[in-house]
Amino acid sequence: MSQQLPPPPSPEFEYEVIQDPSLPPGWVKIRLKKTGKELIFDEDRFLQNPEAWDEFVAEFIFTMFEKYGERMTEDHWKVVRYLHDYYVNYGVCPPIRMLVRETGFDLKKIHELFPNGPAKGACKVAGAPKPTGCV
Amino acid sequence: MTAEKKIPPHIPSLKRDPIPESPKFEEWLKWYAEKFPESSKWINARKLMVEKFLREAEFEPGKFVKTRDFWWKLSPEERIRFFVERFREVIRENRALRLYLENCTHCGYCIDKCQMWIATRDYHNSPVGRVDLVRAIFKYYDKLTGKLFSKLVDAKELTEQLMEELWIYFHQCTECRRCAYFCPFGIDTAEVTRAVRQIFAEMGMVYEFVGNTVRSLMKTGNHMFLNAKAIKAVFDMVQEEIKEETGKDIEIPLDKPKAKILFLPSSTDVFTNLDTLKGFVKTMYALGLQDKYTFSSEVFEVGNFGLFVSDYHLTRQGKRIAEVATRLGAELVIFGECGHGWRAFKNYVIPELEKRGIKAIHFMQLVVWAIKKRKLKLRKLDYVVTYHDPCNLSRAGDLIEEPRIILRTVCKEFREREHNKHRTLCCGAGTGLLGDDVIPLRVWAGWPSVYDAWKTGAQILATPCSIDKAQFPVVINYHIPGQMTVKGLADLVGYALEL
Repeated sequence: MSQQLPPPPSPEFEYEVIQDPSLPPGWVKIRLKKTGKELIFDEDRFLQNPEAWDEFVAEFIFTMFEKYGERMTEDHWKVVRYLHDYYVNYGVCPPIRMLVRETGFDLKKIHELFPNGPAKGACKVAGAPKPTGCV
Repeated sequence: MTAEKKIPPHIPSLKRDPIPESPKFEEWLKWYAEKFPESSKWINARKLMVEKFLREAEFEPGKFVKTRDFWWKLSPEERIRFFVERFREVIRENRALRLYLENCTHCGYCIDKCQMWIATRDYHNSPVGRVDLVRAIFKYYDKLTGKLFSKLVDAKELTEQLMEELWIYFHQCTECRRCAYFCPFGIDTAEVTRAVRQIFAEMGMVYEFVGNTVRSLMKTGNHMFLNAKAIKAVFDMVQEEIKEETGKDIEIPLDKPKAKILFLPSSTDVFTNLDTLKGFVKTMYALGLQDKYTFSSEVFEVGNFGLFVSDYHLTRQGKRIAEVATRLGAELVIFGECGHGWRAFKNYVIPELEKRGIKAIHFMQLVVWAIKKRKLKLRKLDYVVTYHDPCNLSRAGDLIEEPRIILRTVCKEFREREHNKHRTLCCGAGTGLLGDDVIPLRVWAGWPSVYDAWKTGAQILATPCSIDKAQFPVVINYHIPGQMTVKGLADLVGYALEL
């Protein structure tokens, strides 16, 4: 993963990079011009301040890191909303089988929606951290 | 083999080389052949550099981090001084290690036994080459000849560059100990790797993925930041699934007081390997132990990434298991499916439990006992299956025949691989090399083992290890997508059980 973030795909998603020497190398801090929110991303572009998550942030992560320049559809939102609610409730991401069960999409469909897969794509958009352990 | 599918002549090749057999051989040439001979130096395991996370993983300066400061705050000279000092201490304390460093005759028998060398053909990424990096320092600082005639005896002063090389190459060893099995002197490279990594850890230098996992282990007692609520939610779903499949309402007990049996699963069993959990639950039900056992949210983990970091972290988790078992009043601890965890459990936790009068057993041993006593009704599954011996079960854990008995019982056909039992090939992701930053290494280091299994023509690769279950799908997807599936032993037992 390159150190630089890609440029904003449309004027709506413009952002400015904030220099913060206290961050570890590879991490970036940015401020969204539209909402004024500050976001911190790690090397793999997972959100490191999940309390800043809102729907516009999800839209931003999706269009920047998942499918560049594309907007989220209703199907995407169904998955992301479910994952975010689960994450807020339980502090972790649900197993993939539970996601499939609750949203009604099969694994193939989820991979179509999020090319990086459920854990590294969908959970990232939902503001959940990187999975640890034997995954 | 076609003419162009050959390893270029300037690179050492094997008699029956698994690398050109991969459909992705072109990629290999691009990745590794071009960079030969230092073909794996570019894969640098990422270091964990977040102070808060390091503290959460109990890397406290002054407490565990012995330099009283994290490594990036030290000057290069301080770092080198610390490393040398600690290294000499470790060598003095650990006679086995000293023997490993002194005894090698450089016969080279271990080189092509290492799946990391097979994948990269980098001398420093082979058992002898890797340890040679340390051996050079050992000779320089611990031997008179090394100091006086360093060039003649291959002794090297520790420099910043050498330190970086140590970091890179010692984070490409999976501690599978295949080299130790073949070495005529019994030199165990894994021990050297553990010692070097512990010295790094004492400066607060850990591989990011392992560091983050240890963070969770110290905080929650499992690898995935699971709390009781999250575990319960998954249990409810699995319970429902079992009901849909079998029509039986089997409760999965969590934190049941005064249970006689404590069951330790791997934390991924409630994340990716739900079938493994189902296998456990169904087996316990079929054995009539439903009311007697429980899972515990405090130690919902058999794995122990502390084994890959330091003895301190290893024993912390071990003690926690013993404490929870004692508090519960358990008489038996059942160990679920995990490779490296068994090594830590068998050698550290079981003696600890025995002191308190608690017995411990592996899930596979329990199933084999039940099969022999005819306590389980098992049907034959219509699968052709092969078995991957996890390194820490076969070479370090003496669990070799049990899985074979189980597979022969539950599957139509069991095919033995060429490299099996003690000679098993590592999955290529041992010691927690499961991060995305080491993917190029993972997919090729895992290939020899997958190729070995693929050659048998089996459709299922069974393995009782969570790291394998995470690693093999990645390797299979990269090389031979869709041609094999990975299953745990408990998964298969679960499918075959008639309740």
